[in-house]
This record gives sequence, C-alpha cells and structure tokens, in this order.
Amino acid sequence: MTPTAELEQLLSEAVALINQAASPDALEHVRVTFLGRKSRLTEIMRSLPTLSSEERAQTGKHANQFKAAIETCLAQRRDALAAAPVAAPLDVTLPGSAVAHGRLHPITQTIEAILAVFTPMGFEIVEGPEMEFEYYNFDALNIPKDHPSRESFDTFFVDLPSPDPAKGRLLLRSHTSPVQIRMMERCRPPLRIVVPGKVYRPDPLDPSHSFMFHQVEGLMVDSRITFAHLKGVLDAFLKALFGPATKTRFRPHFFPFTEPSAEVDIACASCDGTGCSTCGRKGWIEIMGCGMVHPHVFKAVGYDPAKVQGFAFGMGVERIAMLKHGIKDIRLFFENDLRFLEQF
Amino acid sequence: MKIPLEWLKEYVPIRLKPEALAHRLTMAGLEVTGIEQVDGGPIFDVEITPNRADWLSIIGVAREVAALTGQRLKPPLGHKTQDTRHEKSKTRPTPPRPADDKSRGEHAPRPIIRIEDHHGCSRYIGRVIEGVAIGPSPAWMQRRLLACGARPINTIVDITNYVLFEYGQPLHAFDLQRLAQRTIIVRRAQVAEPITTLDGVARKLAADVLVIADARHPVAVAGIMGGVGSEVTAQTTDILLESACFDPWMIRRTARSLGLVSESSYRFERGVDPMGVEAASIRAARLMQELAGGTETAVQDVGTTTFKRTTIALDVARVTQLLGAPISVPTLRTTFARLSCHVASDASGASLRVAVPSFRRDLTQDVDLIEEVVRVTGYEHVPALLPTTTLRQPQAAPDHAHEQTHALRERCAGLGLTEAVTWSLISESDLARCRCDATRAARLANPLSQDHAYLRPTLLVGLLDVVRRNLTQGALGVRLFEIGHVTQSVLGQEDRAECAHLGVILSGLWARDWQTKTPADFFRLKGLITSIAQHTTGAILQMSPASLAWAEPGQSADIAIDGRPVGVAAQVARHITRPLDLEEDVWFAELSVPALLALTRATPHAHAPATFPPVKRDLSLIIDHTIPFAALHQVMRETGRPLATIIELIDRYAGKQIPAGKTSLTFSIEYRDPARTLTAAEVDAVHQRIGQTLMTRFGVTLR
Repeated sequence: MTPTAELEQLLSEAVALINQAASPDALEHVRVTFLGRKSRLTEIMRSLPTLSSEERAQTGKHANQFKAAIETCLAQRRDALAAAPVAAPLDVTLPGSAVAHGRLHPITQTIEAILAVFTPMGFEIVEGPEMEFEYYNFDALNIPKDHPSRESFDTFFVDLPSPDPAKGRLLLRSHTSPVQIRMMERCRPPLRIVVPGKVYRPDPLDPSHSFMFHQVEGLMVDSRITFAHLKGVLDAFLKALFGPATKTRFRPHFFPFTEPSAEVDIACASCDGTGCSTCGRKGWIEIMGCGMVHPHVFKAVGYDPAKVQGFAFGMGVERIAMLKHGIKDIRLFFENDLRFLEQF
Repeated sequence: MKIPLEWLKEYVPIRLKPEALAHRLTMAGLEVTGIEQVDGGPIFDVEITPNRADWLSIIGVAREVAALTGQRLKPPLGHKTQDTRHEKSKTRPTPPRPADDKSRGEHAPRPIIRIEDHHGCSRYIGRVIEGVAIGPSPAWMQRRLLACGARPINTIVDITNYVLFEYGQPLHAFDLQRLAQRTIIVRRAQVAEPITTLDGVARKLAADVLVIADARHPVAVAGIMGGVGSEVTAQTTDILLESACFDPWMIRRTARSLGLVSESSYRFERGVDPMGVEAASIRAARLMQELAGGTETAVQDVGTTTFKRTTIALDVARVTQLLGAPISVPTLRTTFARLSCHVASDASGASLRVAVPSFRRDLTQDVDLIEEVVRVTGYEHVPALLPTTTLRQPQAAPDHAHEQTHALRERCAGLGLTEAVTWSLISESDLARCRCDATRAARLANPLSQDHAYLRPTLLVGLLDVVRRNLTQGALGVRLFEIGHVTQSVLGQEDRAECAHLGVILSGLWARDWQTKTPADFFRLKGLITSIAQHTTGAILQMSPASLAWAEPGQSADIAIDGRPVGVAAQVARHITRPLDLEEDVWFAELSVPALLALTRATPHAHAPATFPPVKRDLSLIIDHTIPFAALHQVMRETGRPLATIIELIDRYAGKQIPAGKTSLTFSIEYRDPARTLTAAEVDAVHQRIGQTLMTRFGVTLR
C-alpha cells in the first residue's frame, strides 16, 4: 500500500473515531493516536528522506493535508462537545418549588369589587363601629321605638350600660346605615360615601341566613341630587359589577329612612328575565335597596331638607358573592374551609 | 297575606290576567311573591310593607287595583256608606244615656259602653244583635276564610273574621248575657289583674295593658285576644259586636310583652282606618242578621267619631326637582284623585293642596305624595341619569383607614397567608378555653344561642377553630390571617371598647414540596409579622418575653414598635390545643390595627446606594445561652458604627463540641464607607473592637 493510500484509509478511520468521541478526554486520545509522536503519520514523515524526490514531495503534501483535515475535524468535535450539556437533561415537567400563596376571603374580594366601582365616582370609603347606639341604628334613621317599621330590623342588644344614655342602648348594628348619620353629623354636604362592614341580626343559621353578614352602604348628598341620579348611579354600578348587558329594574318599596324608596332587581342571568329555578321563576333577582334620603333623616343630622337632596343605598355582600360565584350556602363563608377559600 | 282573586273581583273589575295583575301590583310596591292555583281560582300571596296598613284587607287591595287600572271600586255597602261618612263630622257624648234605657220598655236595657282611656281607644262602637242562631257559616264564607288562612268556627266568629279580612278592621263578638251588667269599659288593667285568654293561657296583666272589661273584670285584652268566659258559644243568643280603634303603639307593646300576635293585633299595630270602624261594624251586623237570623236592637258609638283629612301642601316644582323627571300638574291631580285624595290648587297653581283619606295615615308630608306619584306612574318612567356634582376635598375619611387596612390584608395574602372571616360572636366556653375573663367580655342581652352569646375579645377563638377544622379535614398545614373587630367591655370608653385586630395563625407545615419540607414555627410567625409591620410602619418590631394566659410557658412575646405596644405572639398552649384534637403545635399573633396604622411611616427620603466596595468578615463566638440575642446585636451595632453597615446572624448552634449552656453564633458583617474604599487595616481594627467589646461585656469566647 502506498503511503498516500494508507493516509486516506487512516483519515476515514480517524473521522469515525472523532465523531464517536463522547468527551474531551476521548477526543484527546484520538488526537494522540493519529497525530502523536507514536502515530503512523509520524512514522511516514520520518520515512520521507528514504523516498525518491518525486514520491517525497507527493507523500509530504498528502501527509500535511491529512494532518489539517484531522485537526479541523477535532476542532469541530471539540466545539460540539463544549456546547453539549454536562449533566443529564432536566425533567422540566416536575412541579415548581412551593411558594406560600395566600388569598383574600371571597367576602373581602366582593366588597373590594363593589367599592372599586364607586371610588372612581368620587365616593369616599368610611367605616363605623359594629357596636352601635340605638339612636344611630334606629331613631336618627326615622325608625321610632315601638314602631312596626322596626320589625324588619330585629336586633341584638349588648348587655352593657350605655356610655351615653341620651343615645339609647348599645346594640350590634343591624345595618350599615348608622354610619350615614355619623358621617353627616361630622361633614357638611356635598358628601359621597360608601360604607362596607359587618352587621348582625338574630336570624338562625341556615343556607340563606346568618346572624352575622356584611353590607355595603352608600350615600350621596348635594343640592340637586335626584331620583333619576339614583337610578343612573346604581344602573352604572350594577352594569360594572355584573356586566354591561345587565338589565335593572326599580320597584317601589318601603324603608323608613328613604322616600321614595325602591328595591333594585337585576334580570336573572340564567334565564334573562323569563323565570327559571335560579331566580325562583320570578325572572328577576332582588339585589339592593335604595331611596331618596328622608327629610326626617336630614333634620336629625342638622341638614336643611329644603337645601339638600340625596340618595342612599345598601346591599348584602354575601348575597352578591353567592350570586356571582354560584354559592348555595351562606355558611360556607364562615366555615373557612381552605378547599373553599382557595377557589377564589 | 293571601288574596283570593275571586274575592278581590267582587269589589273591582279586573280585566288583566293574574300574572299581569301581579306584575302591575309588584311594580307599584304591593309585591306579589307567589300565585297559588286552587279550586276556587288563583290566590295571590302578597308581602305588605309596614307603612301600608290599608293594604291589609281585600278592599284595601281592591282600592289599589282600582287606582292602578282606573277602575271604580265597588264596596259591599255601596259608596254612600263608604265615602260620605268620611266627611261627616259629628261628636257624640261618650257617657251612656240611662233615659234611653227606660224608654225601651220591655226590652233589656241598652248596653253601657264607657271609654276610660281615650288615649288607648279613640272610638268604640258596640252593636247588639239579638236572637242569633249559632251554627256553621255558609260554605262560600268558609272557603274564603280557609283561603285566607283562618279556621272556620261558627257563624258569628266567622263573620267577624270575614269582615276583618274584607275591611281590615278587627272585630270581636261578646256573648252579651255573659257581660256583667251588660257593660263594656275600656280601661287599663290593674296590676296583676288576671285574665284567661282564648288560647287557654291564664295571664296576669301589667298596669299598662289596655283591656275591655265588663262591670267586674277584664273580658278581653284590647285589640289582641278575647277572654274565656265572654266568648260566643253554641248557647249564645245575644251578641255585643265590638268595632273599635285602638292605639297602635299600646297594642304593639302589649302584643310583644305577652308574646301574642294575632290577625287583630297585627292590624291595630299598623293602624286601622278610623273611619272604617263604622263600615265594618255595619257590614258585620248585616251579615249576622242575614246569616244567623239575628236582629240589631241597639248601637252605641262612643268616642271620637269625627275625622278631618290631613292636608299636605305640595310644591309642584319640588316634584320634578326631587325626581329629576318632569311630571305635569294634570298627572299629579289625576294620580291623587285615583288615590282617593281631594286636590285643590292655590291661586298661582304652583302648589297643590292634597287632602289624604283616613286610611292613608302614612301620607304626612310632600315626599310621601311624590313617592305616590312616581309609584303609581311607574319608577320605570324616571330616566337613569349620572349626576353632575360639586367636587371638594375629601372630608369623610381623610385617614384612608379602609384603604390602609386593605393594604395590610393584601400584604398578608402576599406573604402566603389566607384570609379567614370568623364569627364575632362566641360562647362562654370559647372564652374559658382561651383563658379570657368572661366578666370582661361584652355579652349580648338577647343572644340567639349560648354558642354565640359574647362579643369576641380576641381573634384567637375563631382562628383556632378554623385551624382545627382544616387539619381535621386533612390539610397538612394552615396559615391564616383575619382582620376584624374585637370588643372589650371597657365601660365608658366607646373608642377603646371596639378595635380592629390583625390575627395570624400557623400550624403544621408552612410549605412542602418534593425538595423541601418547612414546618411552621415561632420564627416563621415572627418573620411574617416583622414583614407586615415593616411594610406598614417602616420600622423593625421588637419582641420581649411575655407570659400570656393562653400561651405555652416560655413561648410568648410582647410586640412593640418604637417602644409602643402593638400586640402579642406566642405558641398556643398545648393544654388548649390538645383537647381540640390538634396534634400539631399552633402559633398565633394578634396586633392592633389602629396601633400599626398610627405608626404609618412618613414618606421615605431616598439615598443613592453606595458604590465603593464592601468588605465582608465573619465573626464566630460562643455565648451563654441566657444572653438575649437583641442585647448582643445592639452592642455590635453600637460598636461597629458607622462602618459595620450590616450585621447578620447566619448560624446558631448548640450541641456537640459546644459546652452545655452555651450557644455558638456566627455573624456576617459587612463594612462599607459611602465615600471611599476601606483598607484592610481599618476593617480589622473595627472587627477586633467588636469582638473585644463582646468579650468584655458578655464574656463571649471568640472562635
């Protein structure tokens, strides 16, 4: 075999081994085998002086080409090995590390969703005490003692002597409306407030009643606030909360602290007002109460009913949360089972 | 209340289908909550608001239907008895007239009716119907009574109930022969005066109860229930039919205190039509003559028989001004006329004078009339408009307390805590379990049950229960917070009695995944509340050992910020958790929200971060375990000032290779000067000084 033919055969062997080399060490071994001092190439180079000048020139040229080809090949393989991962590939489908992840209670989320509609309209958020005076809960709101209108407001009384007997006994407020009185006593009109908070009524626990629940109250007073404005603001509110296609209707009702008074219904989203099991075949779902502030209430806080007008409204937070999330039992809110809370 | 449609149609023509009528009534404020289909036709179930006493009768509802549909009311006695009587003003003497008795010859003397309490009873009509035959009432009457929810008894009682439903005027039939001296006296009860009411209960009355008495003793609790002994029986032949007007507040108070609510008291409480007293009396007497074969032989009408309509001045412009929708004067006049009001204009036409009928005592001022107009014309005709209003500086909540509290909530959730909302009302045993003094807790005067009789003085009770519930349900770890009001019975200090608290509770695993498992512990709790407090106040909180009643001994702390107390943190005592079947330990912290918010940090003043490189050195030492970390850390900071900018504990160890009672601590200290690069010699000097000072002050050994 001529040296040239031998070099060609060695080259194909070397290329195969280089491409099989799995590590830099294996690659180095291949280099030493084919280009090292004890390699066939070295032997061929050493034998050059024994060849004829013509053979020497040709073999020398082929030996150099052989060396260059192998070095190129080695370099390519070295780069390829460097780019390859060192460790075994990750199973990226494994779960991520635990991150402690907290949530807000659905009642808080619902309250904030409600407030978020009113605050851009300039309503300030205020709160008041849950243990309240009879005066603020009833009398100032045009609900006199021993009057049938108190019947809708069965109340828990607190067994403590009243710190201010002129304001009557201490009770757990049965609605958030007393905060209207406290704010109007403190602030001059115009006034725009929303009032979230807990309220209490002695209703035994069942799927739709609880002795503790939450309300959001609203009040807007200025010189010329009308019933049409009440409709406009609440219509905008309900569309923001339940979607722009929400249909609302205002139905006459009685509240001692407003006149005219209304209950607001939204068309049942399940049947669009035609009547189904969700809305009890009524087509409409009662969502809140409202009305124009009664002149007696303005008088109680020292506002002149001839100079100011305004509206007030109130809604049950649990009721809205139940409607929005399809919750059938109010008690779930207060059991605080994490499997329930973690859905929100 | 039940309204059989066939009965309603007797008094007003109805062309609408039942569903359409129900809708029309509902949209006028007389809410039909259901339509029941029975043999005799549909029955409406209506919900009547407490202001509309006039709707508590078939005729009252018929009157509303007539007003809404423009039909004419057909009352059973005709319009003359109904309407003209309204305007008739006459006053009769109240005492009995003995002269009349004699003139009646062989007839029994007329009954004597005397009102002693004119406040409690403004009018009393007694009619005598003699010679009645007691038997069952006719089938049509029984059917209607049953439809309205009343049990038929006998002709006479059924007639009184029938007219009650028809007119809304409660009536009572006495057996005249069983009334001592044929006498009726309307008076207050004497103290502890006895009566056995028709429900069979023997009662002793209080002195403020209004009673109907004969010459000897009470025969009825006025307006609420008759008494045993004077009631109509199978042997009764002569009736004294009572139709009266009692004071709503007195009836209500008595009904409440006796725990007796009847169809009668329900109507008196809300106020009966003072002019309906007579019509109902006449109607019932006629029915007794027709259906029971009696003869009316005497009438006594005692008390105020006059009625003057209340006249309300209505500024026409104010209607539009309040509603925000124009309502024309003709519309106003038509509406008021349909509602049986008399309307007159003043000369200018700018104001109406509206005289309201006797049955609408709820109409007292102009806004009431405005509501009537918009109620009858329909709320749907008022447009929905957004107001244009005056802007002014916020004044109601300048402290933004709600927003700040909500930021606390979001911070807690962001740190991995889930929000709970627990009962504010707890039991005496809850208080005892958490070692709270029940005498300092506020109690309800009328609790629904003993389980919820006290206002919570701490959030621990509710949160502990939630931990128990979730661990029982298989949760591996529970990390919760709650922000809610707690109440202490601090007398005379309203503001301090009720306060918003933040509670944080941890139990079981804080976090677990396939790589790590982190249990909750005291320092996890401390880290959380440190972060919460720092976020709000910008300050680092300090803890000092405390001894709390509900805490595991030696595992509790008082929390202060800038020297002001803000709360407590501790491991809940095992003698509290074990009886709840909690195998895991529980850590709980409670902070005062107002105390935190009061420390809200000022707007921070920013510094550019230093650019010269820091030098880091570790310091390891062995210290007696009784020396609190905070004391050591304080001295290190003071000694290292100003170059030692960060002094961080990176390891703490006690055990093998460390003498008993000692602890090994390793600190990483970062030295930095904002203005230049520090030399090694400078750093070494400070580093050694820190070590030396600790040796001298605390006897530590440097490692």
